[in-house]
Formats: sequence, C-alpha cells, structure tokens
Amino acid sequence: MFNRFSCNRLSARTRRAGIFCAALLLSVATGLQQEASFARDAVTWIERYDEAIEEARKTGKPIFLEFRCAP
Amino acid sequence: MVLTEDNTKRGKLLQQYVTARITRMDGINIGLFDYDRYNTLYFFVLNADEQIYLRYGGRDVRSATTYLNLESLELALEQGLELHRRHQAGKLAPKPAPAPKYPRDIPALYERTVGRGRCVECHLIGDLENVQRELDGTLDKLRDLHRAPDIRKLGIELDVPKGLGIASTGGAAGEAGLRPGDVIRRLNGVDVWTFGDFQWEYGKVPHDATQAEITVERDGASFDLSVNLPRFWWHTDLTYRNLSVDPRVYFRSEPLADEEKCSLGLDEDGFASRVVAIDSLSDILGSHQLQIGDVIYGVEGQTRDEVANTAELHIKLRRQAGSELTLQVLRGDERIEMSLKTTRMSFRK
Repeated sequence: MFNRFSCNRLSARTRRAGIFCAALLLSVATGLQQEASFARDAVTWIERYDEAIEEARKTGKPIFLEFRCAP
Repeated sequence: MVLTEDNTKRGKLLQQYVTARITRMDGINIGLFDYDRYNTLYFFVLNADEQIYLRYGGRDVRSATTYLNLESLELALEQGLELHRRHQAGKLAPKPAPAPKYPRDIPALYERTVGRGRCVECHLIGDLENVQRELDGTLDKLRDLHRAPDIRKLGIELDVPKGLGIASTGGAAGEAGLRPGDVIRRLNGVDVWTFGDFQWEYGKVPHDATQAEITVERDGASFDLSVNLPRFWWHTDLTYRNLSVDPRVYFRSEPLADEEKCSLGLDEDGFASRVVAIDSLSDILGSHQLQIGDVIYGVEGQTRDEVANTAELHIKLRRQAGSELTLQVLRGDERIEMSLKTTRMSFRK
C-alpha cells in the first residue's frame, strides 16, 4: 500500500504538478505574511509646517503636530 | 517606530487629522510651540488658525516615556477631535497667542545653527536659550532648569493609559481629598486634557506658590480641591538636562548619607558628596585634581545649599561658567583645598 504512493512510483507529470502547487502555496503564504508585516500605515506625515496649516484649512481637519529629532 | 494601521482605533482617529512631523525647527514659531525641549517626543493638537487645543507629551527623571502610552494617546486624539468640533461650532473660547519667537531671534542659537545652515534641533533650543539668558544676565537656573515639576511630589500616581486618571494618592494630594479613580480636569482654573497639558501648566506655577487648585471629575461630578504644595515641590533631578547646565565641572559626585556625614565630622545639613566619576577631559583642560573617592564638603567655604544635595549640583546651580573656585575636600583622613576651573560647553550636538 505504502509503495503505491511513494515518490518513486509517481509519474513525472504528477511530480511536476505537485511542485507547481507547492510553489503556488508558498508564494501565497509569503504574500500574506508580507501583507501582515507591512500593513498599510494610516499616517502620511507632512514635513512642512506651512503645508500642514494649508491642508488643515483646506480639509477643515485639526492638526496633529509632532516635534522630534530627525530619525 | 510604531506602525499605525488604518483599520485600528488609532489609525481611524489619525485619519481625521492632518498629521505633521517637524524635525527642523528653523522656521517654527517657538514662542507658540513652547515646551520643555528635553521631551523626546512632543505633540500638539491645533487648528488651522494655530489655536492649540492640547499637548501630548511630558516626562520625568525616570524616563522620557514614563507618561507616553498608546492608549492615552488615543484618548488625547479623541479629545482633540471633540475640542475641534466645539471650535467649529463657535463654542470654544480662543486663547491669547503668546508673542512670536523664532530660532533666529536667539543670537546664541542663531550663531551655532541657523547661521551656519545647521539643523535646529529641539534640545538645542532649550540649551541655547539658557546660554543666551546667562549671557544676558537673566538666567534664573532654579526657574529655567526646573521646568517640569514631578506630579509624584504631590503624592499623585497616574494610571498612565487613562491619561489624567489617578491610580493612587498620598501626601499632599491625599490630604486634599484626591482619590484613586478621580480624573484631573483643571489646574488652577485651566482645562487640562492630558499629562502634557498638566505638566505644562504645573511648570508655570510660581515657585513661591503654596497651593494649587485641582479640579477632578468623580462619578460624573466635579470637585475643586486645594492642594498644599510641599516645600520645593518644583525641584527635580536635573540629570537628564545635564547638557543644558553650565558650568562644566568634569566630575560626577553622589550625596553622602547623613550618618556618613556625621561620622566624618561634616555638616549634616551640607551638600557633602563623594566623587564617583571623573571625565577624562579634566586632565586635558586642567580643570581639577580630584580623585575618585574624594569627598567635596565645601565650595568657597560654603557647605550648604537649600536645593542642591551635591557639591557638583551646587556649582552648576550657583556658579558662573568660567569661574575658578576653591573646593574643600576630604581625601582619606586629610582635609585639603584645591582649585576647580569651570568652563562653558563649547560644542553641542
């Protein structure tokens, strides 16, 4: 029974199909992982104060202003 | 770096803001955006008319992040949006704007940064404002260096994720009736929404004040409580402001315990302190001949200081950069005198 499903007994075509499926699964899994690792940042930081004021005036939004040393 | 995903609470809140990150202070109105520059991170929430709604930041000697917390940041962001709604509805009274001031207006800062095309970093503003005050003869070190009084000296431990929610009380705050679970809402009649707001307002209280009025919210009701300020309530450890404090002395010392002062025959109320580290620059500059283990018990014959608990701090708070001083030192069993040449820091990064 076991021998029926051993690699040696699989045809070359079946082996190629298996490798293709495994590669496909791997690439999907890697993509999902990357999606999780590099999830979209909700924040786009404006780096000029006058631009932030202008944007706030245009959108009617308040400003969240951070002062920090350059990273 | 903290990633803010757009499907999180914080992400959704931030999307309702224009977000700006300023790393060069060259053209910034530092009169409007005044704050203790020894904060590592500091945020303002304001509108397009430059009306500041609240601040988020604040620190203590333990850490630059003692009062920074993502949950309390979300609270601040929610409060900022609420204040903006009130402003748009015409229900928020405008605050008078402070006089504008720019980095180019401070000669010592201009000379070392703007004038040389160098970056104006936040801490340089703090340092060089003090240098300029010293050059102008207006520096009051007790006032200008103690800008961020510690709320714990009142006996208040905050529940940091809850912003100004109180975790526990003792000391003056406990005696005044503040309780765990209370949320601080006003200080001396001024609305405070965050720890940053509180520390900013608290830092403006004159050092000779004896009381502070704190309004707390408790079970939906508001209570005005008078807190008796303890002696030296404003005094904090200046270690993390080290670079802001001239003169340079090129040694570090630690205070002696009262028992040790007594056993050595030194003034028990004095600032006697043991040298624990010596900067190698002292040799190059010829600053002093101190050795590790020496006990400095006097400076120019003075042994006491009402706020300094070490000789080093006494010198930093009370003496001018460039002064040459005579130290009274105990080395082993021998009492000796030696000179100390102080200097001004010539390079700041």
